[in-house]
Amino acid sequence: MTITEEQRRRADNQIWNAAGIYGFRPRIRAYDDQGRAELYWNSVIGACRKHYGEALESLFDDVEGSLGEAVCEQILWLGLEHACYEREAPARPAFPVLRQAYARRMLGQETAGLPPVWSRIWQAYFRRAAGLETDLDDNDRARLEDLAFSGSWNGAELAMHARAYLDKYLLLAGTEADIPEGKAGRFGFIRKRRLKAGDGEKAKKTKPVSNFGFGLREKAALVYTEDVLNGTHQIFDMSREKSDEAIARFVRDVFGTPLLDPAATAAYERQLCRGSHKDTHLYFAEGDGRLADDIIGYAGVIRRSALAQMEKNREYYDVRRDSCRLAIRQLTERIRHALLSLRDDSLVRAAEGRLEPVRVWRAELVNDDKLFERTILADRGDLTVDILIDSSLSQVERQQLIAAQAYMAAQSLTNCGIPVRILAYSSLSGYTILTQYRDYDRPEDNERIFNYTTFGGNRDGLAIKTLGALFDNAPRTPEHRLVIVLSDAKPNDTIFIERSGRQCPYNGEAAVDNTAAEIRRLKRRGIAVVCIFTGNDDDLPSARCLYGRDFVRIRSLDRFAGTVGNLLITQLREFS
Amino acid sequence: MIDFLREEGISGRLLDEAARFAARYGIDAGCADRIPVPRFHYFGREVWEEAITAVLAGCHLLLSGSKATGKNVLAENLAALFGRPIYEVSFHINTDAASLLGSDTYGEGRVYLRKGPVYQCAEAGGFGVLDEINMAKNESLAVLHAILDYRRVIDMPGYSRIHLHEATRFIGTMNYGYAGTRDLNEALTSRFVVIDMPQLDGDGLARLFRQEFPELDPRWAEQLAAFFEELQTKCTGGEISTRSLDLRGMLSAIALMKQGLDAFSALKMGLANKCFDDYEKQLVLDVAASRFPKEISSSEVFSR
Repeated sequence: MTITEEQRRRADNQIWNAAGIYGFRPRIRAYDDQGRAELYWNSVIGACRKHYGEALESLFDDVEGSLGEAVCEQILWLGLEHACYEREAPARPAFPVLRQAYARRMLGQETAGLPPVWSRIWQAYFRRAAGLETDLDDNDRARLEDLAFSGSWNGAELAMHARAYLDKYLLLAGTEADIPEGKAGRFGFIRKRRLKAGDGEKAKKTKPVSNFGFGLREKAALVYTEDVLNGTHQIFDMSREKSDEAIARFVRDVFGTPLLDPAATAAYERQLCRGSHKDTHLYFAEGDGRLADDIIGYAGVIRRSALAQMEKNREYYDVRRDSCRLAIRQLTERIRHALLSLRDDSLVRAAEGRLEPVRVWRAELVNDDKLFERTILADRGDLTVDILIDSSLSQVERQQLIAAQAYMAAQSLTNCGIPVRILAYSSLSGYTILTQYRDYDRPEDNERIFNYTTFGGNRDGLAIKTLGALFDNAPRTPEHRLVIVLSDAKPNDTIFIERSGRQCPYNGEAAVDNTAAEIRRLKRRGIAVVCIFTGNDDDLPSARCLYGRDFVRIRSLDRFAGTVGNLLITQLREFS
Repeated sequence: MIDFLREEGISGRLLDEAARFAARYGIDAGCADRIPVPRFHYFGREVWEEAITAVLAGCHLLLSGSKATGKNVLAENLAALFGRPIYEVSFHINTDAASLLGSDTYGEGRVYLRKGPVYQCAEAGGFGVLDEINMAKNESLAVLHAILDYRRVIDMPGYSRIHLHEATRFIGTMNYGYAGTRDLNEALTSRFVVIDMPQLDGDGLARLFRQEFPELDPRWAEQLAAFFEELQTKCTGGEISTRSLDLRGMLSAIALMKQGLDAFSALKMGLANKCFDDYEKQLVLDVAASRFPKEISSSEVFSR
């Protein structure tokens, strides 16, 4: 059974709602047999958190990875459900009804994953909850009675009773064979078969879904894999020693399919790679997520690492899909509203407004009361947006966040019918690489932004200059252009720049000055340039120098819509 | 109103001064029907005292708060307490000087000023409610500067300059970050004193519901309030939009229950169906389902 992301998030919401707090990662989630979030059990899980807080965490930690973990946990949850129900039912009139409904669904169903004795207890527990008689022998009845944890206990008392219960009964569930002689019955020893370290890593990479009552439960372990940097700095320097042809091949292998044919790229190089950007090259990549068959050696390692990062970007967004969707909707509405301001005023005749004296005679002679002028709004021209993302290694810690931010901005603009192009730039061994993830007329490519990965340095000045050249060669010129740069305002490249007659490294003040000059050049053409700043406190002065007041800083996604909305709206109003 | 405020525990001194204010200024017969008789009371002692003090001090008020915090209810309650006529202007993107102050029109053989709501309010000594003030462009609001600061004048080109009636106060409401809103510029904001409106808590909500529906069983009033609070928490947590966090919709839902509709369906109609996103709607319904049994009848909810 596959649990969809939507149902997973819905289960979280049910748990958070009952807990009264949001954002924590629940230990387990419950689903029905169709994989839909199970309201009653998830409310119990949330209520457990509300009433007992962290007190039960160590209990679950003890059970996790132990022999018979699945049985222990399921039975433990029955006891916790009993205690939570006693506490919560007076506050939630729906609880008795929901519990009864769950109990009725349980009747006659096999409780998969439980040994027969515990399946009987589980069934009997819910027969009793449904108000029916139970048919148990004395032993089983004792197990059932002892499972009725009291709602009056606090967290510590509950944990103590739960441990005692496990100690007394759970080792009799056919697992004694693994316990050393004379040690049976000690709760601590049921942990003896903890997973080995290697198994633990495997476990972290899976989302175990197992049976729970008549439905399913999911342990909400995060799916994390280690970040792989693969020594890209090393390659960055090593490749300088390679031949031009080898470097060109390396760049193509790492950044994927070229967007432009060699002749077009060469034309751009002739036009742009001069003056401050002498000795540099350009490469335009398509931004696909393919791994070519003929990639070998270190380029293959880098490319595979990039493909893994693309998956991480998607996963990062998926985990936050609902809050991001909300942010997209808010940003969409704000942009739509701001677009209304992008309209021009025009005058019409009306019955009130500013008097037009030459028409006064019409009121008396032809009974026309439209003697006044009023202002109405009309369209003020079209707009295109270019999102330019810094994809240098300095952004490596923020790749997922940046991809998500760019996607949200692009999707919101797409929703408003604004043509958007998304480009990322980085530099490697003298090449400045512009990767185009989405073109103006390809709204269906928005999700390709998740192919964003970081590598190499960033020659911001050349990237912005190239963008200007792309505008020159665009098939049509819109009334307004807006460039949104996602950057840490820290340009850095290995190819030197000439400054005051001498060669100096392309970083620090020299690089900032060069970038600022290119930005000014764009602005002089009436193109608005704003920045979503992703850097650290140290880089703020550079950001101010480059973008003046036209930048915003975003530390977390939940502030994205509001902050970017304000920036865009301010800019859109500038157009009007 | 005074009795209600005494019950709320509002300072007697403030209430006495408010009563003196109401008695001091007369009302033109033509606008007596503009003095509101509030249907809802605003609950919240601290906010009440801040607002009354501001009005007595001659300040204009800016009520800033998210949806369902009672901004308009408080504005209406203040006008009722001080016995002043109310003039309400809903701001929008195209609000301009003419729509606030007035514009020329023609009739009976002459051009005359058709007074806008702000102009009328200024003459009558009313309480002008500038609703969603941050919906309008800041440039359009510049005409309010001389009205709202120490000058207290309206100077319409071609007409005489008038001074605001002494009792005139303006109350702006705004929901920062609401779709379509913008930041108020500093020049305008500095002309107001600002009250950050808190969300109504469970107790306040339950009282509001019972005030509006006295037959509502107290236990169910608390459940409905707790449900609404849970939606507030969900909005604050960013899990749902504010579409379903609709106090008017909540009151409508209770009215539907009173008419015999089951609680779950009523909440669905009044709140959940306002989310046009199916997933969000499902989250709201889950909150409702965790509190209200589907079988609950109207007679149980309205048992008093």
